[in-house]
Amino acid sequence: MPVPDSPDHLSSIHNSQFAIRNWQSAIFLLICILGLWLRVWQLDLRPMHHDEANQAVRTGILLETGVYRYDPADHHGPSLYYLSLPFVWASGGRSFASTTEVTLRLVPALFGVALIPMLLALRRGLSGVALAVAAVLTAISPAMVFFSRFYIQEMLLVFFTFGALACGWLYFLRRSASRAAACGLFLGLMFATKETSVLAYTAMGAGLLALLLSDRRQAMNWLSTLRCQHVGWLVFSALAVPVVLFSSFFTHPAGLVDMFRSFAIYFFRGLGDSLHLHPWYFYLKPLLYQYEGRGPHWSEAVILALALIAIVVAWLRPNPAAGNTRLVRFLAVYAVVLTVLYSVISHKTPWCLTSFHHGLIILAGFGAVAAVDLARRGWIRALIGILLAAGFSHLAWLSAQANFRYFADPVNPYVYAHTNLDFLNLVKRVEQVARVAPEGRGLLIEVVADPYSMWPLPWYLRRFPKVGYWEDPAQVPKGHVPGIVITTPELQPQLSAGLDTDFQGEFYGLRPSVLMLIYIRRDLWERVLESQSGKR
Amino acid sequence: MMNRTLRYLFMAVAALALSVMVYAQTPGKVKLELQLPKPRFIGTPKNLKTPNLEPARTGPKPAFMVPAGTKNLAASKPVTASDNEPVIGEIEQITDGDKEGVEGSYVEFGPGTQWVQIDLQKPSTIYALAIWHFHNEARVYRDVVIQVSDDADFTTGVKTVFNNDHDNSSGLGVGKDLEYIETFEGRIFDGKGMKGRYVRLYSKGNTANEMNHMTEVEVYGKVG
Repeated sequence: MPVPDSPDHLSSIHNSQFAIRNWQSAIFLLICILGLWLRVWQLDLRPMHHDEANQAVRTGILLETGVYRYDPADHHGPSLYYLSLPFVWASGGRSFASTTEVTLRLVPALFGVALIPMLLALRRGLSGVALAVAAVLTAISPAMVFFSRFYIQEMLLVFFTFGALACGWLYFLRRSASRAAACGLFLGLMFATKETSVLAYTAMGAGLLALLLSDRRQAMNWLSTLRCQHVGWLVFSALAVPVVLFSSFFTHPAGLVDMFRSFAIYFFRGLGDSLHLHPWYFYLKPLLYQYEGRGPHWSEAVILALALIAIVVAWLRPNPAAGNTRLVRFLAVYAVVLTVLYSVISHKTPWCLTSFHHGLIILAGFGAVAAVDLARRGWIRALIGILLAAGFSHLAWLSAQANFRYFADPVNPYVYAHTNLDFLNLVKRVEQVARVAPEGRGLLIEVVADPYSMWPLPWYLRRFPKVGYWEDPAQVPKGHVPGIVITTPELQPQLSAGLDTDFQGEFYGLRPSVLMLIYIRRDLWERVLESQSGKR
Repeated sequence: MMNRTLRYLFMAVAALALSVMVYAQTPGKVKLELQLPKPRFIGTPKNLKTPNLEPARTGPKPAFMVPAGTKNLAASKPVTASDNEPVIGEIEQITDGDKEGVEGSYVEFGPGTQWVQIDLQKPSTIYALAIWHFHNEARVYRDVVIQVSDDADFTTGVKTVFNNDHDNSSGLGVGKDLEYIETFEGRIFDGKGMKGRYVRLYSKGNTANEMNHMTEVEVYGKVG
């Protein structure tokens, strides 16, 4: 038996750790491939959501003009747009018209996948099995997969938040300026991604406070040896990122003022000045159980149950073999506080749940190991293993259902104000008319609709150079006969009476209970019919 | 000869020069380029899941006049369909009098052009038809075609009451009637006193999904 600290002993530890790392690496690689497949397969399957189209057009403006202007009222921080540029350039896109759904959605998809290998940053805090379980759950969670395939800021926020947590943990293990700066960088990127990052900061603060209160003496010792230089690096990098990005690389100082104005706007929205007021259980319902009368019975309760076990074990019966007690306690407080914060704020949209759900998923990894360890008999452990395998299989099946079958169906709890599949038929009709029009895609298209009904048209009509968007029918200039008019049933009566006689009208579904009308100029419509009869 | 050629040449050059001068004096014309407004960026729209039980029309529903003694001839009459095993419900529900916009009241058929047919059991004069496809939300059904015939196979003596298949995608001929939004009030079609024993109603998907639905059909008329 090797003597402690002898070369033989250190060598055996090194070999053992190396063997575990190889084993973990192989498992993680497989899990990453699974997560990647679920996130990038058929990325263009789902029609672009209103919000995705808004973000895409903003990216297009940055791509074509190099200009970004922060909007404190909506659309969140600039990181998504700047980080999209390399993806667009790599795909050969030089103009907004040449971008595709796949190019843009790859951005959140790859950040969603990157959450899996990033778990390895916690390998000295959680056991290999706990990390593997957390990796599997990250890869297959229906919510995590669904919103990784969604071109909005959410998955970037989750990634940067986890980056800050991981770097904080690494700094706790070994203090260095680079680790402090990296932690600050991620904290800054969080705010440059979405204003709701302040909720995550609060939850992180609560986690640290809980650790301080639970072991005050050790915490004070640790804090007393903290180096000011490291704190300086952390603060500097945390501030530098938002300053650079919100000011559009120092070309738009007003962006910094808007950055602070956004606090007031989002504060009042959180209090209720919003179209999206929902009860406190809005996020927890689909995670626990939701059924809409048809389709699957949605639930990620296995994750919640394992996270609950982790929270109880961390505070009442620590299990150092499954994970570092301080880390798990911190994660427990962080995830619970973040869940409560998101739940009490009345403004809710389903993608926001990913922020706290990811914390619960990491805890669930620890919880799975702790649950098996709690069982004293072999057959109970085997039973728990079988139940977990069944639960994970169900999650994977639900993920496939959510993303490849019910991807735009309102029975899917993560489908929210989403564009109907029928809307793609409207886009097809516009393309069909352009094919027979003498001007081709250069035909004049008038879109007369309220702003909520305009989107995602600007995305789908990005290759049409002559499209005008009016919210007030009285503002539409007279004297020009458009090839196509797109409007809503509400505004149609205010448009020219000639629409009914000189144009062919058709209805299409935009979103559930929201219809759009397309009017095609009679001569073009006749050509469409001729081209159809020619094909027959 | 030479002089004449020179004279014509001179005249042609003079005419050309004059044309250029006249053109130069005319105010220049350029193609009018419209400055088209851009769309306004706006946040997430409201997630509408509430039933659309409000009529789309403002004001009271206009009265539809029929001869005295007219009654619903379709009540509890036999129904056949292009698919006698619907995805949801039983085809008998189409004439059972239940026209609620809730689960259990409607019959769902698969994608593509589908039809339901009602046997009035006796040749009848039809003055009006009232149809409810599905009215739990605002949606429009496509290729709505209503035909009447004495032939159960609809191969002879077919008369069309309504057809809004404007691009003939169902292959029953181009229809000139307009599409309409489903409401809880149903849609009344003028039967124009057409005579026939069978009524067939087609549709081909809707604005919410590609499925076909039928909640209730009422055929108002008199036997004979």
